[in-house]
Order: sequence, then structure tokens, then C-alpha cells
Amino acid sequence: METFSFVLIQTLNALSQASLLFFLGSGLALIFGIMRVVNFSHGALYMLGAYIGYTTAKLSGSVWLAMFIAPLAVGVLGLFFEIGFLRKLYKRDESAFLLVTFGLTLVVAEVTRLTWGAPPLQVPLPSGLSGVLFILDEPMPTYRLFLIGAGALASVIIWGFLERTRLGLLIRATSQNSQMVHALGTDINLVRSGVFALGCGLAALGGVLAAPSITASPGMSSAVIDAFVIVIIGGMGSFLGAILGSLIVAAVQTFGNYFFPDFAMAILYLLMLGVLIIRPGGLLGKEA
Amino acid sequence: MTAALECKGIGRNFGALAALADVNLVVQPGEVRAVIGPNGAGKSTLFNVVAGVVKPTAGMVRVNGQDITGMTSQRICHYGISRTFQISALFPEMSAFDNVRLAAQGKLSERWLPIGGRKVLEQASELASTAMSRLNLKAIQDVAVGTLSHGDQRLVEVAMALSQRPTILMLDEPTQGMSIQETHRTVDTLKSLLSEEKLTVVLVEHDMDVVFSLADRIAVLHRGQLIADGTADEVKDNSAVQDAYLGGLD
Amino acid sequence: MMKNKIITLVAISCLLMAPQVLPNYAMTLLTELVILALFAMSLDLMVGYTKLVSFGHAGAYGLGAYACALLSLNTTLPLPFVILLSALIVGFIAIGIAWSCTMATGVSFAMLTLAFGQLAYAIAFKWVSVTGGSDGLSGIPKRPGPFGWTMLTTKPGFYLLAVACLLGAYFFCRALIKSPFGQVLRGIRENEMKVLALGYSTRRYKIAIVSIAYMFAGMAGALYAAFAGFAIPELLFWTVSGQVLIMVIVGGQGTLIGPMLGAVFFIMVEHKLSEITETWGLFMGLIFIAFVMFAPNGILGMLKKNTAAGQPAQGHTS
Repeated sequence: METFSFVLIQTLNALSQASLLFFLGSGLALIFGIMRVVNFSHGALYMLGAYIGYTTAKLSGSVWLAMFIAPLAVGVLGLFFEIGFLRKLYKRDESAFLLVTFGLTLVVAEVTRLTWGAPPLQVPLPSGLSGVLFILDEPMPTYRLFLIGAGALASVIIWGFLERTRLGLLIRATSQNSQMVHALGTDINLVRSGVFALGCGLAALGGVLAAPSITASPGMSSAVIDAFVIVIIGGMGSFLGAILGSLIVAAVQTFGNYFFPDFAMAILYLLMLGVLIIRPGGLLGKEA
Repeated sequence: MTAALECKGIGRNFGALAALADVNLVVQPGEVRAVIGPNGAGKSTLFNVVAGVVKPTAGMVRVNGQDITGMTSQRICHYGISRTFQISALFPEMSAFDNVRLAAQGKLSERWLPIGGRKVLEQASELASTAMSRLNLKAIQDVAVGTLSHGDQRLVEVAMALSQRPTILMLDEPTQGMSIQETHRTVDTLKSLLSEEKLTVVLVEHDMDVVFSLADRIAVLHRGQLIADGTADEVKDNSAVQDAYLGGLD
Repeated sequence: MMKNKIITLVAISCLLMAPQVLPNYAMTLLTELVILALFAMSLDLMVGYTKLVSFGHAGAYGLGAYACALLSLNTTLPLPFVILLSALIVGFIAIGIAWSCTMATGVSFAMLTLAFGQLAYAIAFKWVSVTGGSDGLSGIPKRPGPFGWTMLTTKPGFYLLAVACLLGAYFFCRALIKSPFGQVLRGIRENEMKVLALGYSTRRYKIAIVSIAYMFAGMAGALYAAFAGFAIPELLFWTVSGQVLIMVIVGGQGTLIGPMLGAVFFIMVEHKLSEITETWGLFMGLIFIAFVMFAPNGILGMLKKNTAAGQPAQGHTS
């Protein structure tokens, strides 16, 4: 029974990790799907979400509120940045976009450091979720189970939104053929800005959800690499691919960290290279 | 005599759509062959199959007897096919001369180290110079290609293909987007070029005047199939061709 | 052309005479600048000449530093050989990295370079037995050169070694850019698809230039390790990759000289601003964004525009 409980516990750990990665990766996938560019500042926004969450929780005393405010704030921020700066770059080549969003990462990292300082900040667990559940005599933090639920719920909601609503259809159509959608009368810019804001908000949500477990720290902005690995494996621009990618990456990270702690990162990159060799578009991807 | 280009039974499906079906085409050395047809006939697809951009789902392509079916465009270039693109593919910030020189260099032996590079550059420069004077482009050779007129750009692209001394020169709608004057000028330039040297040319064109001025033989595609193949007169009188162009809409 | 030759000669003379003229603390700064100029110029080969944006160049730099440290601490090779050997080692390893990264293009390429950079950082951190872990490797001696040249152990001597490396690399890169190989890079920068259609195996060219770029970055890293006396994991962190990228873009990409100016600009701003305010990093980021958006040709581009010459269309010999 020991192996079974071990596998079960690690699987649950992996699933909760996958949830966090899902928020991070799906945002990037959606943005890439609609804009064909990679937002390098994605990791920084993830980090910002954690920090804003920290402050909201500190000021209001409610972590639940923080989980609501942080994505909203970062989403709005992303919206302003897109309208103000990024729109001007679509006409230029993709490296310009990459460089500007890279610059944005530096700026956000610095602002964060100046506002909140360099040492990591602890965000408390939301009230009601600080307990531990016993599964097969093994302790499992309730928060992790909550994360699994949150991730599953969010993926279903977003998938439903994309597949079953008119707006979702519009988004999917725009990512396939924006000119046609434009010709049919829709303001492409609005769709783009909206999806961009959504993507940023998702990243921030990931950050604020992750904060109680991993603490808010400046190092979080390198999460953009993880997001990218997810999207490469799952498929650029594919929402389902982001789900799949998150599951795979989380599994590799969780079990890899247990069995080969020093090589887990290398294994992940080898996996990413493998996917690039065999299926360059990603497992579920539809590269332009 | 081995045919310069031989396409046998070329088929290409995109899902359920048969863009090409059982197309046979033979081009003799020194011949100027036009490929025409109404929109959607499959001209571009055939062109891309020969040039290696697209793999055929059936059939075979041979250049000078050598099988090049399914090879990448990068490899095919070394088997003697040089092509121009329907939408000009140039290096906008480089001068016209540098554009053509880079093209010429592609067929010379590669030099990775700076040593021995000067000779290669000289060779390439000579080939570029020749190609450009044959196309009357000497005047604009130092101008950044991105700033040239559309007509000049199309001609620079032809010069690039020419400088590679190809076995088969493939021109994809060379007069696309040109004004009447530019078209006349292009046709005149190409005509004088062809009169100096017997090149093998495969030409996809919409403009019938251009086709009749330059082509020795014409192949007509309609809905992916070859419906006529002959001289200008033969094709003009062909009822199937008339139907395809003027007849039913689908 | 004559004007350029004169400027080059003057610049080189100034560099060589600096030790006679400048006080000690300025020499330290200048040495650091020379090393960073080499680092930035190496990245320009990728970013400016081939349009291969990299976020992982610190990996090459740090790798060179560690190679130098390991060679210096475990062998008795003289310093110049250590530097050269480190550069070659990094260049060799880079072939594998370049092969992997060039499997993708554009953004994916950039992210792969970042991934490799972070991987190198993680290795430097974790492989404690070889790299010394978070403490890194220290106590790197400046071993006297061949033939008993003790000059290299002195500050001016080391400075001249660094200048020699920078000049050697610069002239090599210039020859490379002008060669047939360099012409292909230009083509790849402007229209890679067309270059393929012209018969070139563009991936091979990309692998080659990335390896060369990494080699020179490794050389800079090796010089830094000998200069500072230590090699630490921080040298490999992505923020360092970001800094060198800023130097290239702000200085003026695609010019070899521009990134050197960018290095000077960056260090000057860092030194001056950090005295006044803690927020200099923020300003650097904003300056970077401003340059990408409004002055994509960098400082050198702006200087060129202001002198009457302007931006001529490329003639035969460029």
C-alpha cells in the first residue's frame, strides 16, 4: 500500500502544480494565439500578481479578496500597456516586440524591487484553507486540493467560453484569420486588447495563487521560461495544449524532483528539445 | 535529347481538394514554356512542386534526367533550378548589386573562413555584373532594393535567378503588379535576353500578351488538370481552353 | 573610407596609451569596459548581423569565466593560453547549444537560448564539486605569460592583454562580416526564406555564427574571471544577458562598434546614477524600451545621422 499512497500523493502534488502552471501557461498560449507574438513580460506579470496579492491581503486581511484584485489590477495594467505601447509594434518585426516586452520585464522587476524590497514576502493561506487533509494516512495540505479544483474549474470555464460562446468564437476566429474577422466588421484591436488583458490576468492569478506556497520573490519573473516550456510542449496558441503542457511539465517537475532532484531542470529542457525535434508545432499546436 | 524538365503524373492533394491531378509536362532545353490557366487552376501549385516548396502526393519530377521529386527548394537550387517569387522576395536594405551577388554566390563553392573569400566575392560580382547588364539594370545597381520601383524590383529578382546560371529559369508571374509601360519594358528586356542566349524558361503568367510574346509552347491548366499543351495558335483555337476561360464559372 | 581608417587608428592609439595617462582607478574601470565591449560586440554578431535575438548570452560569458577559473586553478598554463583555451572550449560547447536552439526560429529561438542560459546557471549552482556552488571559484591567479613575461600580472599588463583580445576579435569579426560568409548572414537577417531558395543551408550558417559569438563571449568571461579573480554563478543569470542585450541595442546593433559604445554608456549610467538613486535599474529599462521603439539604430545610429554622411544605401563593398 505504501507505493500506492506515494504515487497518489505525488500525483496530487503534481496536479496542484499543474494548476499553477496552467494559469501561467494558458495566458501565454492565448496571447500567442491571438497575436502571434510572445509576451516576454509574462513571468514578470505573474510575479506582480503575487506581490499585489500580498499587499491586498495585508491591507484588507482577506486573501480571497487578493485573489480577486490582483488579476484584475494586472489585467488592467496589461490593457494599458498594450494600447499604449504594444499596438505600435505590430507593424514592426517580431524581435521589436520581444525586446520591448523584455524591457517591460526589467522595468516591472525594478519597480517591484523598489516597492516591496528584495527579500521574499510571505502571503498567508486564505482563511479556511490552511488545514491539512489526511489521504490514506498521508497529510495533504487543503490548499493544494483547492488549487487542483481551481485549476480544473478555470480550465473548464475558459474552454467553455472559447468553444461555446459567441465572443469565444470571435477570439478563435481572430487567431486563425484576423483579416477576415476584421472584414466582417469586428474591431480586431478590441479583441486583441481584450485577450491580452485576459492573458495577463491569468498570469497574475497564477502568481497570487502560488504566493502562499512559494512566497513572493523577485526570482518569480523567470517563470516565463516555465510558461514557455509549457507552450512549446503543448503547442503554441493552443488552449488545450496549455492544459496538456502544464500536466506534463508538472509531472516531470514533481516526479523528477523526487527521483533526480539535481537533474529535474535538465530533464525538462531535454523534453522540450525532444518535442521541438519531433513535433515542432508542439503536441497540440497549430504553428502559423 | 534529355528533357530539361520532366513532370510525370504530378498530383497534389490538400485534404480532399485535388489541386493537381495527373499533370504531365515536358520542357526541352532552350524552350520557353508558359503555364497558364484561370484562377485556381493549379499553376502556382505546379510551380511550387517543381521548385521544391511543396511535395507532390503523386508523380515525379526530373531535371536533366535526375529525379528531384520531394527535395527541398534549397537542394533543388543546386540541381539547376532558379526561381523568382510571385511576391518579390528580396533583401530590401541591400543594394540591387549586392542582392544579385548574394544570389550568384549561392551556386559557388562555399567559403566559411574569411581566407579565400575575396576570390569568391570577385567571382560572384562578375556573375552579378553580367546578369544585371543583360537585364539593363546597371543604372540602379547601387540603390537599396527596397526603394526601387515595383517593376525594377521584379527585374532584380529575375537578375538574381539569372546570375545563378540555372539549367531552368522559373519565373512566377514576373509582370505581376506592373503598369503597362513596365510590362512592355520587361517583355522587351526578356525578349532581348532570350535572343542572346537559349535559356530554358518555365513561365507562369496571367497576362496573355506577355505569354504570346515570349513563349514557344503553352501548357494550360484547369482545375488541376492539363487540358491543352501546344503552340500559341494551337492553344488559342482549342475549344476546351476557350471554355475554361470564358465558359462555366466553377 | 580614409576618415574611418584615421578614426580607427586614433582610437587604437588612445587605447594603447591609456595606461601611461590614466590614474589607477580609471584603469580598473577601463579594463572592465574593454571586457564588456568584447562581450557586447560578440552578441552583436547574432542580434545585429543575423537577427538572432538571444536572452542567454550570459551563459557563454559565465562558461568562459568558469573555464578560465578551472584552468587557472588546476593547471600551470600561462594566462594568455588560458584565455584562448577557455574561448575555444566555450565555442566548442556552443556548437551543441547552437544546434539545439536553431531548431527553432524567432521567438522560440530566443526562449531556447534563455533556457540554456538558465540551465548553465543551475549547473553552476548545483555542481558544487566542480563549480564551488553558490560561492563560486575564487583565488584565480594571474599567471605570468609565456617566456616569463611577468608584465601580465600587473594591471597595465593585463589591460593590454584585454585590449589585444578586443582588437583581435574586432578585426576577425570585421573580416568575417565582409567575407562571403558575412554576406549570407546579411541575407538571413533580411529574408531567410529567400536565402534558402538561393541554395544556402541557412541553419549551418546560424550554428556557425552562434558558436563564434559564444566563443568571443567566453573569451570576455575568461578575461573577467582573471580580472576579478573569481567566477560566480551570478555571471550566468538572465539579468546579465539582459544587460548585454541592452548594450547592443542602445549602442547600435549591426555595427560592431555600436555595442562597444553601448557598454560604455551602460557602465557610465550605472556608475553615475547608482550614486544618486537606487532606481537606476528602472531608468535603464525605460531607456532601453525608448531606444527599441524610437531609436532602433541606437546611439551610433543617431551619431551617424547627425554627421552629414547620413545613411547611404549599401554600396558594392559593404
